[in-house]
Amino acid sequence: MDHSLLDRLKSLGVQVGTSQVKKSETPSDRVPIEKVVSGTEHTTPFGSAFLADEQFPADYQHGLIPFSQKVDYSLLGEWAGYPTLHEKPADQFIFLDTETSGLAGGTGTFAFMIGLGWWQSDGFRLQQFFLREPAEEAAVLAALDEVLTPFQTIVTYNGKSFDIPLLNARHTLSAFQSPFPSMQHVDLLALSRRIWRNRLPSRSLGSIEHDVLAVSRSQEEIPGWMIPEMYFNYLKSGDSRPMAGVFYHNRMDILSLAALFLHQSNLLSSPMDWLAAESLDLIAIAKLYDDTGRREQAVQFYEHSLSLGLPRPFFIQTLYRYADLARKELHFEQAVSLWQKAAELQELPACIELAKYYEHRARGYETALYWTQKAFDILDTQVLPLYIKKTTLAELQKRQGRLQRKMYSRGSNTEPVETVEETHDQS
Amino acid sequence: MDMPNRLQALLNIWRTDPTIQQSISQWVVQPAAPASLAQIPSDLTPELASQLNRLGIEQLYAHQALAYREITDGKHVVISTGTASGKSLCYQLPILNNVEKFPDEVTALLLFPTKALAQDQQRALAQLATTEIKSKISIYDGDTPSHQRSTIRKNTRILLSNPDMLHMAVLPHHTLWVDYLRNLRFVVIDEIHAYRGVFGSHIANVLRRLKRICAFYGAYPQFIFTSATISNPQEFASQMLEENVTVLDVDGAPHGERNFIIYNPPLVNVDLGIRRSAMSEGMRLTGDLLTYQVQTLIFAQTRRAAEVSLRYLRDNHPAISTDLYAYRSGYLPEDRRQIENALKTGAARAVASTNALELGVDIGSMDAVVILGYPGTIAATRQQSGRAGRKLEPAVGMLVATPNPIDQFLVNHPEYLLERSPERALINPDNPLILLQHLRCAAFELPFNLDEGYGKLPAAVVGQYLDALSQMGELHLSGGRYFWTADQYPAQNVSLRTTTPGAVRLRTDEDGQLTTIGMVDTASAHWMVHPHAIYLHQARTYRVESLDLEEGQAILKAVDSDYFTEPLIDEQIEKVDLFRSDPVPAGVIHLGEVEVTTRVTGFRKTRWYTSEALGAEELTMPSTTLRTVGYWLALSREAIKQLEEVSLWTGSPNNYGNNWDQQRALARQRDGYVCQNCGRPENGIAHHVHHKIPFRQFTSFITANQLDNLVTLCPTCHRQAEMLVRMRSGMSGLAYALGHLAPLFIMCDPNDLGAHFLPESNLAKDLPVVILYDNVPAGIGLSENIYRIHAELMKAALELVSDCTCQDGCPSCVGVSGENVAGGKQETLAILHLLNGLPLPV
Repeated sequence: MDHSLLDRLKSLGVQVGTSQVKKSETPSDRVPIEKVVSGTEHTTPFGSAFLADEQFPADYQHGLIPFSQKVDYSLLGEWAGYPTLHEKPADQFIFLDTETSGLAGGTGTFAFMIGLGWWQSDGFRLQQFFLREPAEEAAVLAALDEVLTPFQTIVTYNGKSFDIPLLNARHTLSAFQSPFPSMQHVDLLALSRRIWRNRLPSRSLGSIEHDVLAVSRSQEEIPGWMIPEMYFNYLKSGDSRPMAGVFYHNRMDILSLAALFLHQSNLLSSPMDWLAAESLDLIAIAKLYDDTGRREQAVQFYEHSLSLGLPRPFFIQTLYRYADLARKELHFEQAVSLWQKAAELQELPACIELAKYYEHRARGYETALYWTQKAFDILDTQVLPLYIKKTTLAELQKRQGRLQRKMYSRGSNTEPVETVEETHDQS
Repeated sequence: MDMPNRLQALLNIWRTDPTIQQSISQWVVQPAAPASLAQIPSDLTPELASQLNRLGIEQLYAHQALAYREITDGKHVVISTGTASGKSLCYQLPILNNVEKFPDEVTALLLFPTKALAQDQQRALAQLATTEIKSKISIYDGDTPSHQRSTIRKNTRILLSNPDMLHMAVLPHHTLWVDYLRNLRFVVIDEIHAYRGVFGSHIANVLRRLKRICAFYGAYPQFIFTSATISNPQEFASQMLEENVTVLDVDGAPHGERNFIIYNPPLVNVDLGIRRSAMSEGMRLTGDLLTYQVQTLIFAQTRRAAEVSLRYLRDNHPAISTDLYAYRSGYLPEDRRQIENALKTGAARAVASTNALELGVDIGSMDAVVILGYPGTIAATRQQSGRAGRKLEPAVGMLVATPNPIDQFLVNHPEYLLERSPERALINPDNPLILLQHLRCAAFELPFNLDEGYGKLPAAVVGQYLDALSQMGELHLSGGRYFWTADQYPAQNVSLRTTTPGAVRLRTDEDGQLTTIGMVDTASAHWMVHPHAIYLHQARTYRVESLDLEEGQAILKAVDSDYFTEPLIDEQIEKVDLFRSDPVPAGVIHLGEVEVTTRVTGFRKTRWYTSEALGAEELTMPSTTLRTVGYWLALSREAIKQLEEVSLWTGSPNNYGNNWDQQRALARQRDGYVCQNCGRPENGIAHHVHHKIPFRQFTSFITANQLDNLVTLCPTCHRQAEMLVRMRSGMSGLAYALGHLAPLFIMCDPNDLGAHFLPESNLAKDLPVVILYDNVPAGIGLSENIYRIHAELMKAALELVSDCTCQDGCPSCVGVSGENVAGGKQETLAILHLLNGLPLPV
């Protein structure tokens, strides 16, 4: 019967991509996971699942990162929205990463492997639960919830938008209560994006691991995009040998996640110790310090980065940020000197900032006119969309006219002129 | 004078003015009817009752009260009453009443075919709801910002959305909606007559999926449908839901005197049977209405016609030009809201709209509706004319006929419009291809159990599909359940309308600043905004400078243009693959993949008002192709010979007598090798020569081919000239009959099928062919079905044509001919006899 339906569908034009992988006919073709990965049968009230359990010694080192070090994660916690995170010992954090049947999201995607890692007194513990069959999901979720019980904080990489919503959905589908809504969740991806956006071509965990942690993976490694297909093939063939690579991939992800947690904590808590030579990373951290109100240190990092040297766009960006910070701190001399540096580099906004400063703050109308004229000159030479040019030109002309009037009225009347334009001119 | 008297005065003039009166072929007056009223139900919450009171609603119409009772009793209902009869209140009351009584236990889902309707309903519900509930009424559609979505999922009690959103975003993520779905008590599907054929079959499957997911969470919602007046609302809704649905179709709303007029523009060229255009006549009548200050809504059949109407009106009524508008898809939402509002408040004196305003967008009621040409279905005609008529005031609806055969037929047979609607909305949710797509989605949403059915399909049937999907590697059977094992989001690959996605932004370029003024869908962009097209937007003319289909943008420049453009379109059907063919009596039937290629080859420029042809330009445009499945029937040479022997074969081309080549050359020379209609000169290829009086009206080819009966026309104009007589051959009559009959058998909308007669087709060795194809990319199995029921279909077609009492062809059988032209009914009948293996009738 199925054959006739399949044929009918084919004749109607359904693309029937018959799978290359044949279902194994004889039991001898089937290679169970127990023969491939060392692990045990883990039993729960909802059935049993496969568990690979591993212990890494206390002096384990992952790439450049020794797991035994004590780090200060107070700023990392603050940035993640948990200002009291530093009050907890590191062994109350659990690292989590899943391997799934797809990246599409939605209720049809499930996690066939859940990797978990945490510190305990004698080293780093790593557990991986695996669905030998999709029907074992309830058992794996039950096991997961049990492991999570003593922990209050999970650490993931992109877990906020991927792993955790997916696991929440899986709990709902199995009619279980998800433990995640009541836990703290630190997602290191957002922080990686901030720190390495300027410097690294990719902020995937694999790239960071390679470029920052100096970890290299062995031949066993399977690229992430191949993993769903490999699992589907395993389900069809019953041959679990290729799954060894997936276990390896997931294990490395968990270890790198823990290592990255240590490293990012260090970068945030003492950037000058770690990034004294990495000006691009340092300006990113400086901005983070700036944004969290640590202005004094931010100034120090900006200064240091500028003195180290930066590629031109970042150099200019840093001048502006630093100047903005100085202005907010009312260090106008500092701000002016930074804008002047930018103006030397033919920066139009810097000229406008200077013109504003001299018009409204220093009341040096002649100098303000000078910078306005300089802005005209730069505008003339720059390639910009015509409509932007037109609006900018109109603004500059307005400013020029106003400055001339102010100079004139100052000439005839020695009283300083009230500047009413101050507010709408600040933007 | 107040409005009723002004309108009556105008109607009196129309009744007596000979220039108008003689063109009125039908004038039906439906006398005013009082409301049939009922008490407001006593079990409403005090808040809801006082809110009704505050809105001045002291009593309900009988059907509203009845609906309230039936819905409160837990029945599935379909409400099928007239336009503007207060259908929405029928479900608003019971839903709000329940949500207010049990705010933590009741949620409702309201699905509308358009976003605009959802916005109207949100406003209407907000007026009735308590402050607390008001904040829990939300729209969830493609425009909902993502940062608002999670709040909506958490708090909403009454969700307004559309079927696409349910299919694409809600069901595949149902675990995010647990609280909402667990409490889902009411589902409203508004305007279900919009969901016929392919679209409707998809929607029925979306409902199956919704019911399945609800059941998972222990919810069994009650369904409320609303529908325009179709002949089978109860059957249709029951088929859609696969449960018994109670119909409520007694309309208790009052109405004033309603005039319905069918207006047939007068003949201007009796020889060619050319009438004054529906557009110019429609504008003249609208002009009268505006003079008498009667608010008027004009329905045009195309977006361009709506813009042209506006332009005419603005030029002829300069004093009120700012109170005249056009309305169509492609306008920005905020502009649309503004026009809707102007209609409601009366600030808009006239609006020229496409069918975008046909579905219940809340614009209040008009005093007059002018429909420029038959809109394609009787339900649409009724719905459009139903826009005229406020409460108790008189109103007029007019259909201005075009020269189209169907329009002309309706002029002579108004009973189709006025009395019986032959239209039955039908769907086929079990179409294997649609079913397969939704089983994928359903399996993704929740694994199927081995013994699980789907809708009314038993587990045994579902199991076959699931096994097929397993063989295709998309599902994996584990522990008695089928798990989705593909890295895909299947809903993404299922388009409920199976139209091409994508849109082209229309942007004006001023000094390098690009401003988006509107959008058109990619398929329409080819003919609406091809390079150098004059594009009308709110009666401003723009010339298209460039069209970049890959970037999805057209750059427009505002210009003052004294002409408009019309695209010249070429359509071809090619065979891609032959799946199978079988001999049948009198011919061979084929099933295969075909490619329907449509290309804009150029455009014609016409001056405003004078309609002077300003010539044509060629264009090099990419063609759009529809690759789909087709069924084609080729008539055998033996059958043709048999028909020729009894003079019942008129399909042979070039059978114009031995002086034809010579006369044709002479005619072209006389006409200067220029199309006498559009002025386009020949360009390497000879223009056609057209018989003013059709060839077969003559007994001798010598008289038929006399020069004064011949005129040179370009292929496009020729096609238009032939429109009046295109139904004349037996084969084209057959194509017409099959195209209209087949949907009854295979349960789809006539628009889901393309039907053509190809005189010498490469589909079958230059034999004459009738082809029916799925008007849907990749097809949905319609042609396959037709192939299977060929014999049955031929039998039914013979019965249809034989039983029809018409003289020589009408829209109910082989199609209608123009005036003065034979319809080809006898020829079609003869062919059908042979196709049924019967001897020719004597």
